[in-house]
Amino acid sequence: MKTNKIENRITYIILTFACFLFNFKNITFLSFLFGSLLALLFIFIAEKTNLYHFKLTKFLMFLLAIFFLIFYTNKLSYFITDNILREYSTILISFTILLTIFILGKKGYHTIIKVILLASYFLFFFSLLGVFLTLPYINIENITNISLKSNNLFLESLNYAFLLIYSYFLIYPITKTKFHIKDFFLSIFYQLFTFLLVIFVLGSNLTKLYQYPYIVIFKKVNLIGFIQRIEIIFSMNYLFFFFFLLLLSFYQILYFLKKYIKKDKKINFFLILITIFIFFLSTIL
Amino acid sequence: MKKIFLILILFLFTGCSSYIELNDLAIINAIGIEKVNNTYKMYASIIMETDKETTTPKTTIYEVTGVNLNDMLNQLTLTLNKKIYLSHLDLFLLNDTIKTQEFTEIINFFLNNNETREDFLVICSKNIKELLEKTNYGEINDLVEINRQEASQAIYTTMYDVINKFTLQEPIYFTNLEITEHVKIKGLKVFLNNNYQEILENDSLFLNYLLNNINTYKYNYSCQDNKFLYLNILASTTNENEKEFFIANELKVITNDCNLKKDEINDIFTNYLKTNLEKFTEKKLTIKNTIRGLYENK
Repeated sequence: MKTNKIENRITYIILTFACFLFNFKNITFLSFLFGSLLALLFIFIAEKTNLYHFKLTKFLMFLLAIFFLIFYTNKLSYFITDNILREYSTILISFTILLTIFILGKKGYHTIIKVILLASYFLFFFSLLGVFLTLPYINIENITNISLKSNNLFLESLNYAFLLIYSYFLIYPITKTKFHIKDFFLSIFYQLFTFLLVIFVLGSNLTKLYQYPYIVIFKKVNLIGFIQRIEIIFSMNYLFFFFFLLLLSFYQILYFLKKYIKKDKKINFFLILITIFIFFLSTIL
Repeated sequence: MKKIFLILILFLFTGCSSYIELNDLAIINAIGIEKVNNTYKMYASIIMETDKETTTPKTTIYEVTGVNLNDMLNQLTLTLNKKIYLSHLDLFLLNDTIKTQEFTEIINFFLNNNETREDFLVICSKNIKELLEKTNYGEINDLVEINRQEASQAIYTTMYDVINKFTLQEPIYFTNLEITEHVKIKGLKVFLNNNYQEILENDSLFLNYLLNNINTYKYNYSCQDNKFLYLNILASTTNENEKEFFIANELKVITNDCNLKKDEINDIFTNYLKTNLEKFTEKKLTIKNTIRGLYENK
């Protein structure tokens, strides 16, 4: 299941960015710094010791993937009903997300990566467009208000580091490819750039108050009284970033089952059972 | 089978089931809120139809009471057979009865409502109902915006500013409007520590100096024999530290009938600013003027 380094790089950037977007409120400048250092250190140790090849690590990743799918399918379905499809119920949205993930996930890793690569053109194009559209709303004074205070620096850094490490385990050990430090720094740079953009537009205080600060900055866009109310486009961007994280989490479950169960029918049975379990738990959260 | 199942699911997301006609939306473009005897009173200006000749939208004012904003919007749906739509909200009016507790409720509403855009103007007025009935949101928005740009006496406070300042417990400045025959800007109102303080028209210019909100305005000075010095303040920036305000003005001399020299113009304008700004602050004021124009030829 070898993939080339560009595919890995793009996938890692997309996954870490998705994690970053949904934890925007819990990330401060310092937790960003300490968390990324901690993650880098851990990833290096994991690379040297082949950590993923231990049975315990695989089992832990399997459990984490289930937890991720439960928790973030719930979050994503609420995000969609809040911002995109206001008239629909979260149950219907969760069902559709999990069904799409199930069908796409079962196609295999290569299909997933090809879909991510294809989508990345649109995702990065809209991210770049977002930067240009929000440039007129940047308030340089907000740089002086960047808050270095955090409620619990240790926990926030740990949380952020965990997300970076989790994204690493979803790609590199499965594809059996070497981790490049360039991938890590590119993803950190992309996140830092977005982090600063949001803070420059909204300010530190408002960033902490809003549920989706990355979407709120696009609510401000009004170019020549014509280009406005474009946040829905960027909500779609947000959705896709997160969809791919859930998709690869699902593949992690499938990968674990394939390792220990030989019969295809049994794998399918367990996979359906786990998906139903995830669906029910995500809807009652 | 799988493909047929997927195609069937696609039909669920066509948007047909949640389709709403434009005529079925109650588009609210302005809201006025006050508190009377522990209950809120809300005046909502709703776009009903557009005048075919003037193409200006006709609005109707609805008055409802309730215990909070959500409750009032629910009350509104009892009188309207339409879906409340807040995405086009452009003006929010309030008066002295809206204090800390009320601000907390209003801010919570807007922070948790993804439909609204918080870049709408928030102003203060004693005559909320009259303002909404006799004018429209566009007129008020233009009035504040034009004054802010030309005379620098108003402040264009948006809901973003209100949320930000309120949570930081900083003073919130609102443009204060009154209505007699016409709408008029009556200075500013400041909300701090659960109290409002009024700042009159002339003083609001100087307060804007300290808040670094000056865009442009005109200054005139009369010397002997009905002769005048007219200055146009093109730009101004104010920087503040713990002990001092640094104000840098860019002045253009329009008329210099008084035949004043550059240094004299500088002194006159600096004195004018210092005397007016001293009452607002005890900090030291450092004023630097860059003067250009026709004073050398006169």
